[in-house]
Amino acid sequence: MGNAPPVEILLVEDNPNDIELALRAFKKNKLVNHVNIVRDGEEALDYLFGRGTYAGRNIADVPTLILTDLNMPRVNGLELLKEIRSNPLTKNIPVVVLTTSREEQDVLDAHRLGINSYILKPVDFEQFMNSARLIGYHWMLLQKKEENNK
Amino acid sequence: MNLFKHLHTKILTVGISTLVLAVTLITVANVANFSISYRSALEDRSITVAENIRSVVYRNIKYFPLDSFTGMAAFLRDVLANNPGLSYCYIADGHGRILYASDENIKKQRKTALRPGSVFKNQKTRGETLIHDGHYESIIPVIFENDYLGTVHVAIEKKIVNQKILTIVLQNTIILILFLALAIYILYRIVTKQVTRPINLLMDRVINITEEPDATEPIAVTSEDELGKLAFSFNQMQTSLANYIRELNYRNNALQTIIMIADRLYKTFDMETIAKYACEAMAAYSNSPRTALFAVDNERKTLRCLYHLGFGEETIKNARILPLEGSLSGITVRNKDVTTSYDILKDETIVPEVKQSLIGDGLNIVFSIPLLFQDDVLGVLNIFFVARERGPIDQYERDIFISIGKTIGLAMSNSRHVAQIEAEIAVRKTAEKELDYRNNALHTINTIADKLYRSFDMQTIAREAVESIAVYTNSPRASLFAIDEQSKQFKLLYTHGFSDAIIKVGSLLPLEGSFTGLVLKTRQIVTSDDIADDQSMVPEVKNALLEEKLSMVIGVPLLFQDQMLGVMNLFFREKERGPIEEYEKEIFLSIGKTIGLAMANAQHVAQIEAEIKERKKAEAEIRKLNEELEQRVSERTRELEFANKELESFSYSVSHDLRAPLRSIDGFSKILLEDYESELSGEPVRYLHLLRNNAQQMGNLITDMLSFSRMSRLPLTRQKVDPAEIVYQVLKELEDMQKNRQVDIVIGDMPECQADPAMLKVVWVNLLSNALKFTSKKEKALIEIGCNKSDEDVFYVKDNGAGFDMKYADKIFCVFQRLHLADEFEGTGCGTAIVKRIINRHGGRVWVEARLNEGADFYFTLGEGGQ
Repeated sequence: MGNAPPVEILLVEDNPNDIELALRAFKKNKLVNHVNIVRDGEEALDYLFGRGTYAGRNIADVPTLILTDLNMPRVNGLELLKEIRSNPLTKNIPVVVLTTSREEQDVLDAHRLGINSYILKPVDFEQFMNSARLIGYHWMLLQKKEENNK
Repeated sequence: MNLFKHLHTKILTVGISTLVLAVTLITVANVANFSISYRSALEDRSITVAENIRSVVYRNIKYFPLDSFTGMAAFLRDVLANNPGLSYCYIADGHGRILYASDENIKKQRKTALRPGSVFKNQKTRGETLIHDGHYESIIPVIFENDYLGTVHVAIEKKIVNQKILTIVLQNTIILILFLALAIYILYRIVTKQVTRPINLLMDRVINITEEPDATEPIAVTSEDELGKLAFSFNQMQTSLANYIRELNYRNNALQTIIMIADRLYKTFDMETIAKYACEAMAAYSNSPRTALFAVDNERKTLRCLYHLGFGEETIKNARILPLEGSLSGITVRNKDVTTSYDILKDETIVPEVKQSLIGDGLNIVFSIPLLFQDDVLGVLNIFFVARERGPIDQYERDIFISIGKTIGLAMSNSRHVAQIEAEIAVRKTAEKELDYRNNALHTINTIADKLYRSFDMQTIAREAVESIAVYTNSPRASLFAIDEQSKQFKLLYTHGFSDAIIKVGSLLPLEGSFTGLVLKTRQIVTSDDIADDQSMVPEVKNALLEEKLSMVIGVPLLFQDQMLGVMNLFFREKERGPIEEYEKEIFLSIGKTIGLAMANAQHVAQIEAEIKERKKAEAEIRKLNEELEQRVSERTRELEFANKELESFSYSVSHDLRAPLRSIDGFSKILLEDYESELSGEPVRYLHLLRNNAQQMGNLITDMLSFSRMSRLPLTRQKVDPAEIVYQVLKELEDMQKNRQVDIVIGDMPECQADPAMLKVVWVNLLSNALKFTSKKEKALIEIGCNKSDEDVFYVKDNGAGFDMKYADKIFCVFQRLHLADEFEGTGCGTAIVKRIINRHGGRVWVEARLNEGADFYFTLGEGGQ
C-alpha cells in the first residue's frame, strides 16, 4: 500500500482552541492522516491554488478531504465553498463543514452549496468518523490508521 | 161564418140543435118501443087464434083421432079468413107432419116441418113465436090426457108487420116535425124580444156617442139581468165621459193660455218684463182686477214686488217688500202650493198694513200662486178678486195655476241664469285680460331668466337684471342693491339712469331706516306713490330723487327660498304709471325671485370656486405630506432592514463567538478529566464536572435564544399539516425522555390544519418535551394530547406533572422565565416563549391552565387561517 496516494485533510479553522481540540480528537483516536491547517478561507484558497505563501505548491496535489469552519475572517466558509465548487480542480473534493448549531446546518442546506457532511463542534471522533462514513472515506481513514498501528 | 154574425142567430142555432136532437132521440125510442109492443100484440093475437084452433081440436079429439078430422082444413081456412093479417095456419102431429093446413101449398112445402116435440118437452108450456121463412110463426102444443099429440101453428108474414110499423112511424115523425117547427118559431120570437133588441139599442147608442160625446140621455133599464146591468153601466160611463170631456175642454183652454203666456215670457230674459207679462196674462186669464208679482230674495228672507197691475201707489207702497215669515205670500213659498184666502179682512196671515190697503181697494179674495222652477220657489204671483166676482177655486183651476206658476218660474229662472252667465262672462273677460298681462310678464321673466342664468358673475347679473326690468317697466331710473353681510349695509350693485352724484349718496344704505330696508323687512313689494311725502327714505337720497323729479318707487325684494339677497328699486316720474295692481305685485315678486335665484347661483358658484381652490391647496399639502411620509417610511424601512441585518449578524456572532469560548472551556475541561483524572482527585474533579455542566448549560441557553429569534425572522408559509403525524414523530424523537418510567400518552382526534410545518413541529416539541419533563417525578405520568372542536380548533397538551401556581401564569410565556428550580427541572425557560412566538405569528392564541403539583394544560389555536 506504500504507493497509495497520501490521505490529506485540510482543516480550515481560525480558532486555535478548536484546532487543538479537533487535532486531539483525531490523535486520541489514532487517526494519523496528515492534517494541514489553514487559519481562514483566504489561506485555504491560497493553499489550494498555490498562491501567496503557498506559491509554488503543487496544486494538483489536492487534499482528500476539507474540514472547514464557517465563520472566519476575510473569506468565510461559505465563500470558500463557493470557490471550491466553482473551480474544476477542486470541485470534487469532499467538504465537511464544522458547525456550531443545527440551525446553521439548515441555513447552509438552504444555500445548496454541495456540502457533503457536517460536524457539530467541538469535533469529536465519533462524529468525525460518521461524517467520513457518509462521504465514503471511512475505509481509507481506517486503513491508514491500521497501517500506522503496525 | 156569416151565419153567426148576430147574437140571436147563435142562440137560435143552439136552441134548434137541442130541439132536433131531443125530438130525434124521442122518435127513435118511440119507434123501438112501438115495434116491440106491436109485435108482441101480434104474437098474442096469433096465439089466441092458435088456442081457439086448439080448443076446436080438443072438442073433437074426444071422439076422433087427430089425423082423422074432417072439415078441419076448411075450418082453418075460415079462421084465416076471419082474422085478417094472418098468413097461414096449420096443425102438425107429434112427429112434425102437417096434418091440416089453411093452404095446401103449405102442406106440400112444409112436409118436413120442424119437430115441435123437441120444442115442447114441457107439455104445459103455452107456446112461443119463431121467425120462420119470412114469417112470425106462433106455435102451441096439443096435449090431451098427458099425451103430446101435436102442435098448432099460426103465422103472420113479416113483411106485412114491418110495413105496418113503418106506416105508424112515418105518421109520428110528421107530427113531430110539425111540432118542432112550431117550437122553433116561438123560441125565435122570445130571443128576438129579450136579447137582440136591447143589444141593438145599446149599439145604436154607442155609435151615437162617438158622434155626440157629451150626450147624457140614459137608456131605459128593462130588466135586472146582465143586459139590464150593461145598460146601467153604460149610463154611468156616459155620464163620466161627459164630465171628462168637460174637464178636458177646460184644461185645453188653460193650456192655450199657458202656451200664450210662455210664448211671450220666453222671448225676454229681463226680469221686469217677465213680471209685467206674467201679471198682464194672469189678469186677462182669470179676470182678476189686481195682480202683483213678487220675487223671493232668500238672502234677505224677503219677497220683493217686481210688478203689479191695477194697484194704486198708496197700496203698493206698503207691499214693495214682504217678509218671508209672517205673510200670506211667505206661506205660498213654504208650501210650494197655491194659498187662498176668501176673506182678506179676517185673514191673520196677511201683513196688517197690506191688509188695510187691500180692504181699502175693496178686495176680498186672493189666490197666491207659487212661481216654481224645479223644486225652488222663485217668486209668488198674487191675484185678487172682489167677493162677488168669483167663487171658490177647484182642483183643476189649482193645477192650472200651478202650471202657469211653473211657466213663469221657468222664465224667471232663465232670466236669472242669463244674468248669471253674463256676470260670469264679464268676470272671465277680466281674467283673460289679466292672463294676457301675466303671459306677457312670464315671457319677460323667462327672457330675463335666460339672460341671468348664463352668468355667475354678480355684477353682470345686476346689470342684466336692472337693464331688462327698466326696459320692461319703462322705468327711467332703477337700482339694485345687494346685502353686504359683513358691513350690515345695502351695497349698490348697479343703477340705470342715475347720475354719479346720486350714486355717491346712495351707494351704501342702512339695513334699517331706509325705503330699501322696508322691503328687506317685509319681504314684499313696497311702493311709495309720493316720494316727497315718504318718511322711510334716507333724507339725502330722497332729495336726490326729487331732484331727478321722480315721484314713485316700487321696491322689489330679491329672494332665494327664504333668504333675502337684495332689493331692486324701480323709479317713475309723475303720470308715468298708475298705482300698482295686485297681480302686478305677484309678477314683480316672481321677477324678484328670478333675480334672487341668479344671485344665489352666483354666490354659490363663488363659494364653490373658493372651496375648490381651498381643496386644491389642501390636496397639494396632502400630496406633499404623503411624499414626505413615503420618503420617511422608505428611510425607516432601510434603517430597519439595516438594523435587522445587524441583528442577524449579531445573533450569528453571538451564537458563534459566545459558543467558541464555551466550547473551549468544555473541551479542555473534558481533556483534563480524560487525561488527568487519576492525578486529580476529589474536589478538583467535581469542579471540573461543574465547569462542564455550566458551559453546556450556557450553550443550551444560547441555542434556545437563537432559536427564539429565528422563529421571529423566518418567513411563515402555511400549508396543510396533519398535527397527529407531527405529534407521533415528535414523541418518537423524545423517546429518551420516556425511558425507564411509566408514561401514559393519550392522543385524541386532531383535524388537519393550515400551518408552517417546521414551526408547528417546534411548538409540539416544546410542549411535549415540557409535559414529559414536568411529569418525570411522577410515578405514573399521564399526558393527553388532542383538540377541542368548537368555533375554532383548540389543540391541547395536558399533563399531570409539577404544574405551577396560576398567579405566575403571565410569566410562563416570557423568555428565560422559569417557574421551577434548575435542580428540579432543567431547561432554559425559552420553550414556551418560542411556542407563544410561533402561535402569535400564526395569528392564534396560546394559554395555560395549571394547578400546582397537579399538572398543567396548554392550549393553542392557529388563528383564522389555521383551519
